[in-house]
Amino acid sequence: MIPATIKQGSAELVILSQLAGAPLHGYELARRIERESGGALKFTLASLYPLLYRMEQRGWVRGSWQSLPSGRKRRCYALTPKGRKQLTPMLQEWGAFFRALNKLAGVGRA
Amino acid sequence: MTPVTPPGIHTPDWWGLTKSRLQGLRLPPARRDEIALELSEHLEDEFTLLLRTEPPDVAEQRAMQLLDERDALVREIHNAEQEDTVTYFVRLTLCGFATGVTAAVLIAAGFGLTGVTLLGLDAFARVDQVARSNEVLTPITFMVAGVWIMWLYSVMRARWAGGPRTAGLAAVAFVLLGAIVTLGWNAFLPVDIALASAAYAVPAWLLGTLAGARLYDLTERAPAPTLRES
Repeated sequence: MIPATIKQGSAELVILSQLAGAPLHGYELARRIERESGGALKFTLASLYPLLYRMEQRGWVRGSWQSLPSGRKRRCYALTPKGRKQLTPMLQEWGAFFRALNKLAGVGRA
Repeated sequence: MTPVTPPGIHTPDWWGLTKSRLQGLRLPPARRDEIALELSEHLEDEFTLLLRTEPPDVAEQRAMQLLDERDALVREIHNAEQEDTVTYFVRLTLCGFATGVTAAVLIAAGFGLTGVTLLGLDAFARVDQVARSNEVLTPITFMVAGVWIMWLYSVMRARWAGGPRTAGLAAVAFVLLGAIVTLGWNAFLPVDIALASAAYAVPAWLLGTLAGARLYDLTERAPAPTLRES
């Protein structure tokens, strides 16, 4: 059964899956999502950072400041073990969701 | 990789601009400054990237547009930051009450059904008398204890994943701590009364904590959809 909150978890899934590869700062994360989705998915400031803060409060990601040689500072986000644990069922739920959509509406052939 | 602003290009004061946009954000100043710094770094990156294809004034204008949804930005950050303050305490209190009430009902039911009526053991009857004559079973005591257990659960949940296992550990920790704290007082109790009390209290608090923890997990607010498709 597809959980009712599956759509709400879409942004979380995207972020967690990107951070599963390597720690990223906010701007890099947003750019990567836009680039790898072919421009189909875009995060705004108002959508990306509040979500990162929520995920950090839940213990799914951990942000830490890094100083660059240029003097600028970066807040890099890394996936925590709890976040990694969260990612697995999310991937399964979304997999089931798309299989169901494909079966019903032929989304995969669209 | 971090884009670097070419030399000779005037860089806007992104920090100041962002900070002024976040004035309406009711947060501790240090936290507000940290958020402003993070967002201003994002804007500077965007500005630097745009400079590759746009003249400086256009790049600045387009980067500034990221701050256009100021109201949404302030609101969303405020909601995200408040999630662990107001919402946390409300959830903690309500779920703690649920834990205490469940435990109290189970203990009372245990006394009524098994301790006195069915088993008829002397120790159980005496425990029942003690409980009824003192304020051990008053709702306030159970409510406070329930909130304390939920606090413990929330702390443990932040370290380990939530769920029945963590809730069970919180309940066991509560019972053990309670036993240690009241060790001196319990020493004056007859062994059969102490054992009878434990026989009711341990499973009741365990089940109460499982119920409270379940409620705590269910009331966690899911974030609003945040992906925007172009």
